[in-house]
Amino acid sequence: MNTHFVKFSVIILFFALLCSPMSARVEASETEPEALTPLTDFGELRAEDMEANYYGLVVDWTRRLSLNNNLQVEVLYLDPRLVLASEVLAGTVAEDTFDDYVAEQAAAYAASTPFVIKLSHDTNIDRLNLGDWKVTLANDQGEEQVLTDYQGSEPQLRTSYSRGNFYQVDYDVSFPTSGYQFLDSSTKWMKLSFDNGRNVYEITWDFQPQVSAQQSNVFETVMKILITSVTVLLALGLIVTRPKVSVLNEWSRADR
Amino acid sequence: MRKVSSVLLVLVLISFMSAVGFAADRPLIAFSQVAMNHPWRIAMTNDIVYWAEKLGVDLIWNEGEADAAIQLTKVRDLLLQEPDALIMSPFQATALDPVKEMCDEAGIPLVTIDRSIDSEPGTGMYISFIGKDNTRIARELGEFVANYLYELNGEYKGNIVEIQEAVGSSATIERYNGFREAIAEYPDINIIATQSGHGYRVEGTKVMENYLERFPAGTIDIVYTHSDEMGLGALQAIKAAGRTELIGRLVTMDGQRAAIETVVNGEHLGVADYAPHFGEAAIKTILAYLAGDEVEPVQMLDFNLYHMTTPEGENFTRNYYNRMLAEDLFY
Repeated sequence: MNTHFVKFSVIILFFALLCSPMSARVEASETEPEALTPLTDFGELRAEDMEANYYGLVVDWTRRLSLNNNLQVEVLYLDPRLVLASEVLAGTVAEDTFDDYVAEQAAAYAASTPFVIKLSHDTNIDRLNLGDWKVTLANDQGEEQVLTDYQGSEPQLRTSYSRGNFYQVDYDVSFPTSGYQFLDSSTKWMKLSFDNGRNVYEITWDFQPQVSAQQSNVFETVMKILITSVTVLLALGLIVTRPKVSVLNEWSRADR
Repeated sequence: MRKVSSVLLVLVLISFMSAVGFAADRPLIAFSQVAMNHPWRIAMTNDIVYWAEKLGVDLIWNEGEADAAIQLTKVRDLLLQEPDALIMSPFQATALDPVKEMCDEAGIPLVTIDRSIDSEPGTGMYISFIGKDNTRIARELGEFVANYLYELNGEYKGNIVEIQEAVGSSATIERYNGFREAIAEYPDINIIATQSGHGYRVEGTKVMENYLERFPAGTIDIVYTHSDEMGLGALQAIKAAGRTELIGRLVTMDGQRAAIETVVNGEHLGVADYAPHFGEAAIKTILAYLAGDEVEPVQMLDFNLYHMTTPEGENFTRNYYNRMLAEDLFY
């Protein structure tokens, strides 16, 4: 009986020690989200696999928001990788001139930050005028640029799964900077605000979700270590406080 | 007073004439839909509404509530409004065949989409059938399944259960036959059960539950459903029954976003595209016919096969799925 007691405790101990680090490792890899990171070092631009990545990048960098009176806005930040992917799709990037292309892109992003803003409404094309809004680009470092330069398409009929048919105007916009990139490797977020004089609507791109994910992993790991330690202590407690053989014999005699 | 009345009368006449003239500029097209109780059908109608607007035609439409007799009555209602042409997606080939005669009598051009009727396209006022080649798509899907089973088992061997579309429709017959044509070359690949799920998700779940009771783990290699909705229903049944060996073994047809997503997630093996985008081809065919141009009596639209079993297939499928997300497409 006493031997069984010890064996049972050792098995609990063994499994507790075996399972805890494994589960912690699995959890960490499964819950770690991909961070949205803008490309700020143009030396990292690569043309390989860009064709297949185009729509994935569009999904990553698109944000949607409802403005007032059924007006919808969809904003696409033109990350340099996305621009390159569209050029690769269009077949306008050649391998032998790729270095020149990268240099041009670096210069372009130092001069301005590009977006596509799509205003859409189910029926009323008169509401699709970007000039009705004061559009401001800001980042966590306190920099702000107000939009002055944009080109809009003619209103076009579009269709989509969730909205049915609607009209949309696409605006190619760029926020001028002063010879340096608006986004750099330390930028934590950027946002676009749309102000019509009555309401202000904001769209944010957050570049630091990994930090919070790491913090949450730390919490999970601490909890797992704590639970494992308690289990180990309980198992040890069971072994230490086990009844002696003589006492067990006495109990069994008394039972009889 | 009489002068004023005359001027008013003339003005009314002018505005009436201009209204008639204006209306005559835009052709009136009628569309008869099978039913509006299925995402594929809703997307088809939305597509036709979109292209009607885009190509500058007026559109009237109704639905047959998934009943041939009701659809026939509803088609009659549409023809009474004297449209310039009729687009019909018939519920059943034989039951809706009288529509051809009705159009002949009324002198209204008829275009069928997705499913055909018994009459020959290109005869009388039945000017064109626009579809996707169900037989060819099902054949390619069958070939894809045979090759997958070869990769899996080292030989062309395996058991397949099938869930069919609505009984009697031309699409069901073609999807049934095409798949069998492909696997007929491989005697050890067998379809061990086939039953109709009528095209609906809930029915797909019920039929799959029945299959899972009849066939224990290890006896089914592939689940072939004629539509995504039934495939998604079958997947629910598989998950609920804990039959994990069948995850990633479903092949379906249609190509809706939810099904493509299951391919990307590894829950479906493959999806053959049969997107309901017939609006552009149908309305352009009618406009060409009304303009006096010749039109093809049978038009088959292209299709794709989405899967993750090769690097090329994976790239293509992921890219298409991302496009669906980016452009908010259902099909």
